[in-house]
Amino acid sequence: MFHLLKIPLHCGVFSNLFISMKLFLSLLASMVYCPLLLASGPIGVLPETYSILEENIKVTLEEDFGYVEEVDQSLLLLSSSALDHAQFECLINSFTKLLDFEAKIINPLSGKTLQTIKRKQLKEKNLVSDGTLYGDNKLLFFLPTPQQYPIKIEYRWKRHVSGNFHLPRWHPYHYFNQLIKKATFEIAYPEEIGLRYKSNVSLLPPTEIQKEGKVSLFWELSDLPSLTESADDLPEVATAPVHFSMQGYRGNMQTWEDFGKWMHLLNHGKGDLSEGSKALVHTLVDSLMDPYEKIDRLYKYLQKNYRYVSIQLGLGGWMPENANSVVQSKFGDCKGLTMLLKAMLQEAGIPSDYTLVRSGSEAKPIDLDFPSNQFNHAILRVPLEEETIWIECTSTTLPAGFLGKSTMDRHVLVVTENGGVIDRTPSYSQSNYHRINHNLHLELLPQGNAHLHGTKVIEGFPASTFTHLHKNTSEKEFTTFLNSHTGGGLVIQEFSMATENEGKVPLVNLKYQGDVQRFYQSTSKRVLIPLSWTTWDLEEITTGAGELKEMLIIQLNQDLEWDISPPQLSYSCEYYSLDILADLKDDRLTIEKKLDIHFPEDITADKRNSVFREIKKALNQQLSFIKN
Amino acid sequence: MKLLVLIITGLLYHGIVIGQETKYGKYQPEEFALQTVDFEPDAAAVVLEESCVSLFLGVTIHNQIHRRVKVLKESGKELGDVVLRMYKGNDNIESIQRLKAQIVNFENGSEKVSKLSKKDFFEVDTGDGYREIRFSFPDVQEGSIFEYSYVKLDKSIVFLEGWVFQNEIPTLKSIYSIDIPSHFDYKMLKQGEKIFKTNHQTSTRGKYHWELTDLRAFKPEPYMNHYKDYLEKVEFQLYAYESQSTNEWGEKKEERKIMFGSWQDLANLFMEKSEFKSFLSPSKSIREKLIWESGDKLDKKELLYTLYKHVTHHYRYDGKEGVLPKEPIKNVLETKSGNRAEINLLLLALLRENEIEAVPLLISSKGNGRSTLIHYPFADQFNHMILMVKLQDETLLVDANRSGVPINFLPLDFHVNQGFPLLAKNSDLVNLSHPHRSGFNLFTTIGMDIGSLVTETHLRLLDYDAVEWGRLEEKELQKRLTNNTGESPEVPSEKLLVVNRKNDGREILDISYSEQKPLTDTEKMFITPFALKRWDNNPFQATDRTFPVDFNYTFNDRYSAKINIPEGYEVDDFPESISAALPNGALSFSYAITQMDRVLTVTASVSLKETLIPAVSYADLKYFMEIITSKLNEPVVIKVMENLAQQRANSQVE
Repeated sequence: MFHLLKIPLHCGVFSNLFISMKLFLSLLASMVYCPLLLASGPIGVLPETYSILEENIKVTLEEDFGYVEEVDQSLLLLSSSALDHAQFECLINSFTKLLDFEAKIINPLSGKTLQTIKRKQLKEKNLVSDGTLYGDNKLLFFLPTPQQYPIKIEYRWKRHVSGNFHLPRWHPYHYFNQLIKKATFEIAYPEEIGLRYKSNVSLLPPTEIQKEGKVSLFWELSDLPSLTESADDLPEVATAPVHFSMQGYRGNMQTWEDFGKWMHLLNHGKGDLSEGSKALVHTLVDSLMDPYEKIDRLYKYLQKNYRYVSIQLGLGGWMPENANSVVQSKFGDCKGLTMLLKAMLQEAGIPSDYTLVRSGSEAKPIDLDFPSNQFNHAILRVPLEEETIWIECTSTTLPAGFLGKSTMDRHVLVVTENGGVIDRTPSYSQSNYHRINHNLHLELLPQGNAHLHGTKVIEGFPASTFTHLHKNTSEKEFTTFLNSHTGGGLVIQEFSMATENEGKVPLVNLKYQGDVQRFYQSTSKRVLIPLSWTTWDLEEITTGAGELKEMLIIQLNQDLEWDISPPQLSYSCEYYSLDILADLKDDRLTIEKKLDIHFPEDITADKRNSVFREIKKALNQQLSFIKN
Repeated sequence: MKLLVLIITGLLYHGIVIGQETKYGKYQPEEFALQTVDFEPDAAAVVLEESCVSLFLGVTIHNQIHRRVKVLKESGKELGDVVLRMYKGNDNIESIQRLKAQIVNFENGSEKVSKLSKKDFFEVDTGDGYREIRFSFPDVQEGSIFEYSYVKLDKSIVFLEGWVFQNEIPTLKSIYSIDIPSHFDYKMLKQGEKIFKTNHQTSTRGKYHWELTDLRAFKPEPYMNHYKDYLEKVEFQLYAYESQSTNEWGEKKEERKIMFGSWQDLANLFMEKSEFKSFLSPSKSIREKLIWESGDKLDKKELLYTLYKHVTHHYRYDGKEGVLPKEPIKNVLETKSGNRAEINLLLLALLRENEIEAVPLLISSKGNGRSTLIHYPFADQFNHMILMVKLQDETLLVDANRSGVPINFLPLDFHVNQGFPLLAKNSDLVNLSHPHRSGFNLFTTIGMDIGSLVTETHLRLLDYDAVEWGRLEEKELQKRLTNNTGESPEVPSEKLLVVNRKNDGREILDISYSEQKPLTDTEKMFITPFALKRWDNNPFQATDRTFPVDFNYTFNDRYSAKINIPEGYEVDDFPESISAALPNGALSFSYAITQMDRVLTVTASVSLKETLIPAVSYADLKYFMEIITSKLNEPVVIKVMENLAQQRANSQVE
């Protein structure tokens, strides 16, 4: 399944990893990446062709594990709409050098060269992703400004990468509205280094030539029509070496086990702690017996005393910082913080495993059949006797054992001393990962207003949101969040929130009081009270199950009787059950609601949304009372 | 915009070093003791003190900057990552030197100081001439105090950055001093409230000193363009300077030169640039291309609209702002793309060539940090160039950079009160107005038909509301028509009648559809007259507010529902009529119900007369909006007439 908008240009990096906050693994790979990622505008609505491309790419792997990529590109821009297509961008860093570069701007009618651009004319800037303080990636770039159309631009460049951990991935398509007249991809490699590739079904097998210990694979495509929207079966070839080396660290990635061995090699010695740090670990955990309590204690210490700061230099893109350095600075990236906690747990007698994951709530699953670097983040796996604890070491709020949406429910590579092992993170699909129990006491005041006392016990994902916001926003901002996520017209005067994680499940206890402006409506004969004043963020339930309970007790302070029969709804279907009960005694109205959602794994987003609409419709009623 | 002055020579180091109020590395017990900020008790961190001392050294200004921050809460630890930004350009215009930084933690009764070294400072080239120095303090904990100081050299002395006294966290004290040599004459550009109340004069001529205390943190709020428009700050623009020259007889002569003595000087400076000139006085061959073939068959207004449409449809705005063209008209015509000034100047050239009067107009848009223009000819005040087009009986403000937007609707952040037209003579600031009559007008007719409630809805959107809705994709339009419960109008989109019409420069969008919904209870019906509103819920959720609310444009909304009471039914209950307004009359609301025979008419209006509501009126505004949104949701109750109900009951018994 390939999606055009997420494809980087023939460069061997992971597009959707590139902008990740916790990025580290992909940064080291040199690349000429695809500006398509940044493209915006009328994609998918303009059917015409803006440019025509011919491109030949040749990758030559060398015996010393470096490789050279040569690109020969001829681009015919038909109109100014194709200007973005002519953009050249090349990422360089301590492993990647741009050896040669030349661009020619040619009048296609006369064949005359109007301008020649050389390497030194390229502009340069640092490329530091959001959330990273500093990295050594730099971008070389050039954007032609043609004075006429059509115009032809010829690019020739060559770059050298000193390490074959990453190999280029071939995507003939670079842009929408671009016709591919011809595209070739050749990759040559020494037999002793070896190469694996994976192409999608739309591509024929490559032509293979073996000569003097070198193997060459060759793909060619021609006359591919221009596209106006993303498609699933675009041609693509992923490549990866069998044997590889970066900065003298040699490895093999034919299997996940071998890949993991290399990562383990990089991690070697990084978990050594000073005597002072070891003593601190013992001070923290020696009084505890339960392994989970020890994990929890050390994790909380890490969360309180360390912060996430990402600095990615050279092999540091993959190699964790030494745990002692992290202790000194009290900051680190995902690798450094994970390594530190692993070291601390080790000192506490609890073995754990450094684990690689492709992070992102929308990230595509890794390709299990193609062992290669597909990761952008590190987490920790702690196998206990009866359960496995997963830890997100960059979080300052999650409980030990809860990963959050960006790394849950996916395959990961666990790095053990015996090599890599594929495992899967928890799916958190049980209802205790989305459970809310809300109790409200309201007293009606004149002019439609009300005074409110509320308590709310929140578990699972919504609790992690509350904890994160409570910690990272000001009281004023958090109050605004509570006002807008509790019910319309609420003006909170006071609140208190306590995070009391229920073991591995985030749990929050919220108490608040305030006024509700225009809570009820009053006509000459009636009082109308909303059946469901509170905001139910049903759309947040994405993990399979959810449970919401609400008890609303309203002191009416006036003599009212039911106008129409009180709703007593008990409804159950394939995806949910909803119970509503309203009761009026003296001048006290009680409304109880209970919703249980249980979505199957394969439910579609459309179906889920229609269920939410159904539920909201049932809740969106007014209770009508006659004034006596 | 950075303007470099390299014309001033012979200037010597001037000024007396002004001592910093807080000495680097020396801490006071009260700084360690501080745990909360009185005026922002929930602050995660606080700037204890910051200062900038600006001194001239030749044609460079040295800004000695020192900032000391205390972390008050765990969430404030992130402040330990620092980014210092500078504009290097191609000529090293700004640079940072002598950077030092350290952090102190108070542990076991003693100060534990960690100093950063050169290896901890990273310089990042962020492109377009900008660079950043980034560093991260180690061991940042609750209670940590970190500080850094550096000298920022700036060769651009026409416009001095001055000082912003506020930060994203509260600031206890912010100090700015500047010592301006006597041969320079700067005009001061101030913004904020406290800055105007602070005495900045000193006993020394040319030396100014501000010390502002207890400054609130700035953060964006909804319904505002940018907090930059409200920050406490001071900037300077060079107005005149004295230069010394020696004549052929060896006599020294001092001369006072005014940078831009008048608005006309500034206008000339812009218009004499070759790229600019190419639009104002195009070559003969280009002029031939600019003549609109059928132009003589159209009246001026039609021709203006045609040319505007031509430019907006065929020329691509490259997204770059600025008040000056960087390319000549020839290139813009060939590439069919350009920056905002270039596209607008191309339209100007087209208009002039076809005998329509148009002039370039510079403005400072909302969010540019220049809420009020200074009445001195300072170029840096402006950030956009648009056009002022004069027809016989009206003047239009035009921006030709948004395809599909009608001519007389500027971007809303361009709704400013003043602008600077570049004229051949007598250029000066002019007042601007943005006439329009925007509104959200809803007309519904509700009736009953064999157990169903039938609603005919007609929504008329006017001017800015029409422009906004008219640009919506179909999916988004359906979403807008969706009510609180997530129900869309039960009509296929092809039956949703959307008509866009123009009426004498006005934009009108009509949306019509009808719905039929089965009634669950035919004895008693609760009918909400208005299914669509400008706001379904109160848009103001925060309890209080720091900055004014900016609605960006005024409007007059009207709601009208005609409810036909079916035979055998009667009106049982309905909301009370009200009429109310904010104390200053900026926002008013009325709601009334009348019954004539078997027709119940519910009408409401919401009228916003001022776009800007001050922060002090926020609580009133919030409550008022609650009244509006809840009132417009109140139902009318219709029930079966009592005798008919009795008959029904009897027939059921039988």
